[in-house]
Amino acid sequence: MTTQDKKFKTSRRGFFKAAGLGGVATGAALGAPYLWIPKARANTIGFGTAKHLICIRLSGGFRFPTAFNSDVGEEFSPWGTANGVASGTDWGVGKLLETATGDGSWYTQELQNLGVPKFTDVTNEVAVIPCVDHEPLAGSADGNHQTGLERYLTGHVNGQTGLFTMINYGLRDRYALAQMEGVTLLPAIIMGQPGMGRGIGEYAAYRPPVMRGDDLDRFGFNTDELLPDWARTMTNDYDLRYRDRVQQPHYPTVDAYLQSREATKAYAEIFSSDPLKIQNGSTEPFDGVSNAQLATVFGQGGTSSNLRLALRLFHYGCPAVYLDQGGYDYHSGEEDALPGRLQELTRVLSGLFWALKTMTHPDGGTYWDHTIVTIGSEFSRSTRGGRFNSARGSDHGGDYATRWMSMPFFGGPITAGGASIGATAAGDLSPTGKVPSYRSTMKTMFDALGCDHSPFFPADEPFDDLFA
Amino acid sequence: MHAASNSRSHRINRSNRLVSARPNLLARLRTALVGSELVALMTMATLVGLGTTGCLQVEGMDPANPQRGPGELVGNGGPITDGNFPGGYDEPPAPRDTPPPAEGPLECDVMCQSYCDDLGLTNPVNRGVCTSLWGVGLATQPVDRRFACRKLYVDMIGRYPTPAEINDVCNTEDWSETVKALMATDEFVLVQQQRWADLLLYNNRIVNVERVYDQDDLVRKAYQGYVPWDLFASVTASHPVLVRRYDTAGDRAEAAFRLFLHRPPYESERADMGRLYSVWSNGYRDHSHLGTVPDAYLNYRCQTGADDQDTDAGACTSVLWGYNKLTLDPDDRREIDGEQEGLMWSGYMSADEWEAVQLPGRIMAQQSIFWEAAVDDVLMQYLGYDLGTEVQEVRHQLVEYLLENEADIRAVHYAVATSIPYLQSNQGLDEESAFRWTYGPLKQIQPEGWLDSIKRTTGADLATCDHRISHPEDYLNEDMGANGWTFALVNNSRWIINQDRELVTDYRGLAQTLGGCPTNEIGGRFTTVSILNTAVQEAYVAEICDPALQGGGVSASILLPDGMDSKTALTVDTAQEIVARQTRLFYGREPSEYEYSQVELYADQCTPKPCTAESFARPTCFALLSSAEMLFY
Repeated sequence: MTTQDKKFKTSRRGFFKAAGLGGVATGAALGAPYLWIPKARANTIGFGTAKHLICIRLSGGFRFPTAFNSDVGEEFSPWGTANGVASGTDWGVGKLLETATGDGSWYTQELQNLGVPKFTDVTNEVAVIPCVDHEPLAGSADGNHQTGLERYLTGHVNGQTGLFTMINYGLRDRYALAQMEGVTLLPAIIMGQPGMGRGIGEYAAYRPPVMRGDDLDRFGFNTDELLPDWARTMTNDYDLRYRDRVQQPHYPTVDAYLQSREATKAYAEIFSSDPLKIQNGSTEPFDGVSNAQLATVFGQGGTSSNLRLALRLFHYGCPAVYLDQGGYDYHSGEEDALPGRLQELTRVLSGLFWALKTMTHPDGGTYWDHTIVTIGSEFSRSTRGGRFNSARGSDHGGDYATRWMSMPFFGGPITAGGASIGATAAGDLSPTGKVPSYRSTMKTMFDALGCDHSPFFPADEPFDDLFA
Repeated sequence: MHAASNSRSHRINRSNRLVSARPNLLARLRTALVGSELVALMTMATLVGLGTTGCLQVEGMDPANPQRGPGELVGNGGPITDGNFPGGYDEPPAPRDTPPPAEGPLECDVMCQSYCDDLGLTNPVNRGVCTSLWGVGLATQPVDRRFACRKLYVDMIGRYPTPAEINDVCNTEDWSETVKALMATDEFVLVQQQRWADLLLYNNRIVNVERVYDQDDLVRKAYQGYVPWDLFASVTASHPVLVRRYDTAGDRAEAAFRLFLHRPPYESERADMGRLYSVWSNGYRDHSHLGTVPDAYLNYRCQTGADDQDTDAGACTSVLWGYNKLTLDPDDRREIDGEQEGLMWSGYMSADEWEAVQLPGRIMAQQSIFWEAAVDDVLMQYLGYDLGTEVQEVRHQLVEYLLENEADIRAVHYAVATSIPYLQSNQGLDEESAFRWTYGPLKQIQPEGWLDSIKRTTGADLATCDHRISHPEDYLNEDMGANGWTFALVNNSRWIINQDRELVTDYRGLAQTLGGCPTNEIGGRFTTVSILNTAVQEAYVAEICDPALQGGGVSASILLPDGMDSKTALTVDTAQEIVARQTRLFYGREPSEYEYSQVELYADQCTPKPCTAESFARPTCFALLSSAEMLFY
């Protein structure tokens, strides 16, 4: 059973920060002269080192110690740790991340011939932060699906701006520059929960598109190619007449639609390109890897299709893709179901290592050099004492086991491969090292992408540890 | 199994308690209300609306109607009104002969007041807005009946009307009759149910789907006039779909505040109201047919003790709006082991217990802001802007009207939909106006409405989605515990399952990309104009119309006038007939003179020559269906 440590532990560095804030407050109270000069942008040493980000959410609340940060007690990590992991791996690799072999295994000879690695062979290129916390100053975990997910998607309960809207907003100068140069760059794209794309007020214009795999073909539609000249004229005429007929206060609303129709044509060329037709079975290499190879490596499931598409979208300037994987809300039957479900995740991870390192990036090097992959969830899971609950599953409450998202990060810009950034006590999962907020963690990702993140999460700073 | 009391005495007790609360409400509202007969009217509303019945069945599940919850206990008598609300459509009056103001604030002097009084307006919105409109010399924009019909259909039915509906339903002598006819349809109820699904964020992964069905049926009862608005709010504010969605008592209180008072609570209010929500706990239950389902539980944190010495009653007593204590008596219905040990599943709750936990909603309904929020909601729904705040007399008049009509929320819909501020054109005014109510609203149609309109007018083959089951796959996927019952549940819903027992997702895929059919994990629905939305819309219209004549699209006969063969050689007359046919079909209006004149130009340019009726009709279909006129109304 885990408990909440009443004496909340903080790192020395965190202590100094807290002391500093207290000092400022005291100074202000005494009327001491104090000039506060905000930093224009608090950047990390990894600022701008990544061009792409893949965010995978293990949906439903994932029991992280079964895969990441697994070297803890069996009530948290009932399957224990993996054997034969890559040397230099300092974080606990879960037994369930071992690649299953034998009949029915996804790890076929064909994949081995392609050079797809077992995930356990590359764990020293993965950094794990064992104790990412939604609210480090809260008394307990948020074990509610609704609010936990809201925190995951927006950083806060009832957050009005999704993290991917923040990315698009943060890169607005880059897009404006590209537009001036006549280059069309795709924005960050959501393939999972649309809440990641919330946005109102000044951020509404930066909402990312929510894309479903089966809708992609529709993005490639170009009226100029399909319509005869007279019909194009007719189409424009109807729009213009309607816009000019509406009362003046409504004019901008309708005009925005007309402008979007014009802009759509710019995207049509990208979305109608063959590489994005990921189901076409093409054997022609694009960025060094064919669609057929990607299908072989990742398989045909929903997550796999989304990932294959994501890798193609990156070619056209898309900075980030978010997608959901699995369904891990195993209040019952986890003991039987999770091992199989995690093989799907293992295949995704192995596939990403292979694809990112094999695919050549338009700006030079491979996609690995420019891409970060991270995995999270709305919260972790708890059994309140046993290896499983009475239904052979796990639940979620307010304890440490629910609280810590043990998030892995990998890709070229992550130079802390193999490291465990923070740690937990094996017996009760109490934190013995760094406890960054989820907001800080994602802000670090924004930072790596080169975003202007200054308007977001002012109390949560990005950190250097992943780039050390 | 423990069943609720079905005794007559219970029903009487419950009614009396609610009735006794209404005079307090009236006292609170006396600055906003006039007319002593309101007490009697409101009392009747409650009595008729209650119609409480017996127990909740605990075992078994009807997959065609799995509804189970507190909504079953109310609104089982007759309607609270006959739906023939007084007033309604007024002929738009001329503005008073005085120079119209160019900017605010508006002041209605004695002459203005007298002018409005003499108009004899019957509609409460018209009465309320007069002193800020005609009385001060401002004019309204007349609207064409076909245009008004189109607008009313979208707002009430959720889609554009067909030509037949424009000619039949909207061709009545009295516009009020048209509004009543639409309010009596099932589609009107469905639009309101979808709206409440968005507000309450229905999600079968977060709340037991039986509860969702129950709340959905409660919405039906409210919008068919079986439940007065305060009773609807009381049940909803403590319904499992709301309380199970939030983690803490404070969060639940805040959600209820935002929903029914349109504002977040102050910290003191949050804490105080939160005490009444502290009885709830979130849990999971092994359902005999649905597997493990998330549901609401009672925790008996505050118990009724002997000799009125309640245990920890302070933790469950609200004092900001009077002394309101909520204690419950635990018994052997509580779980005796497992994760929910000591808690009681809400499915076991009796009618008395439901009534007790519905205290937050009853408290909110005693505040004038509750009623103001109710009418503001409807105004926003139809007008798209906050007329109740901009012209507060409108809000005042509508609140009074709502209470005069037994708190039947349909009365407000009727009043707004027949009002002149709503029935204004959004076209033709060339200059800016500082007063939003002097011209008609322009709104963007919801994704489902856009898709449904295209489906209905073209006969396109497209499935649908069902707001009650956000994740139907969960009930079809055997890996997730699907079984015959769950399959039957989906099969009896609005979701479409094909012959391979798979969900048909074409409609959902489109609608979700455009912002509709939300799964409600968090926010959910959005309506926007964006590049990628537009691309999807254009592409879908191209699929329907096949403007490049690639052998797809809907049958050409839909796009051509009756009796016209698709191979008919194109002439100007033929082209004009085709445009007229499609303009009526899609826009519900006749082509303008200018549009007719342009057709000659298009027909002349049509290539490859010789053009046929079909080769002209299909691109015309694309031009019309993809136009802004299909997106905005």
